[in-house]
Amino acid sequence: MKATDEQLMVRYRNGDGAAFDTLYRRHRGPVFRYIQRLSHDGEDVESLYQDAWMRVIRARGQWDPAQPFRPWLYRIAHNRVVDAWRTTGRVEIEGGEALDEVAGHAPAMDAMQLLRDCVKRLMVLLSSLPEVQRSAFLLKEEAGLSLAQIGEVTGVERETVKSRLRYALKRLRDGLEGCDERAG
Amino acid sequence: MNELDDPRLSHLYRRAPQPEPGHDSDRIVLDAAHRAVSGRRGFGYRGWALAATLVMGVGIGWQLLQTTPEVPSLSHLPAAESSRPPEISAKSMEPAKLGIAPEPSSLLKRRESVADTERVSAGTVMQQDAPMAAGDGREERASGGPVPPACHERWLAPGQPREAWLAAIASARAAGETRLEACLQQGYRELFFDKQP
Repeated sequence: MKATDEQLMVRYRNGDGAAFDTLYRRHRGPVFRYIQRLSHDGEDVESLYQDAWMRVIRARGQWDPAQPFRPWLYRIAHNRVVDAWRTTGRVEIEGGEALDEVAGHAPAMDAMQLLRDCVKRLMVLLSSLPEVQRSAFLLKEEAGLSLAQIGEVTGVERETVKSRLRYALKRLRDGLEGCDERAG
Repeated sequence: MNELDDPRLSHLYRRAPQPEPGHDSDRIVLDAAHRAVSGRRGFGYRGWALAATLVMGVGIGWQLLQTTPEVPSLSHLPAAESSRPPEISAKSMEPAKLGIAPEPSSLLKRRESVADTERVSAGTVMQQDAPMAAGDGREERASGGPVPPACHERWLAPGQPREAWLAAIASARAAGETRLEACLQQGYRELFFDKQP
């Protein structure tokens, strides 16, 4: 039977390095994509990614085995990105202009090309979302967290998460007009 | 459809490129993770190295003990012999064939000579057959005291195994009978080591 994240983390805390290998393989892709898609252009994503895992390793003794591992992991990754924002002094972007640029852009094309085009538009739209909305969307889609867990990671109430997600999805749907019927 | 759950949007997101971290990042993270817990298990590398060194040292010491020459220091024979492990003692018994080996010819001649001499004279000639104890005998004769028995008379009976000799030497030492001990050591040496013609 496959060991849970929590079982692997407990084993790692007790000195089992192989347990960490399994845990890492399981989460490396999603964590990397979360950091990459939440970060601004020009930020060293690999460095942020490594730092996040280093924090996980250092803070392994602080993790509460009674709590699920994934929210804790993504909170560390999220905080690492937020720290980078603070360091560079960047502020949230609203993304309204970017949305306008891609909205309604669905020229006639075959299904496969349309799918590729819609995916590309989705990624542009996603990168144009306000950071709090983008973070909520990524934590839901990439990490598979619940609303309450997203609230834990980002430090807000569940209702706030719902609100952010609602706005995010509306913007994305609006920007992907024309993709619903022909792509996917 | 739940307003917060959009399968079509999720489907599109899954079709997006799935970038992954580089191999360097993987290596750095995994190395750090293993280093962080490497000192927590059992002895660790240093502990095992120390244990291995100790085991090797004991092994080499044991080999050296086994290859030590058979002839021990006479003054320490009983103690050294008793401290040896059983297999060493058994090995050292082989040349004596467990006490059934024939006596050296020199010793037989000496005993015959002594027996003849004893029949003629009770004391003076016997000193010649006990060169190791000769000094002691002369001192006693000079002082006019009783003539001690010849040293070889105090040896064990012929055919006694090596262990019996060692036990007798130890017993004499424990009793403080230094002369008897010297006699027994002399006999022991002659019987078991002094086999040159």
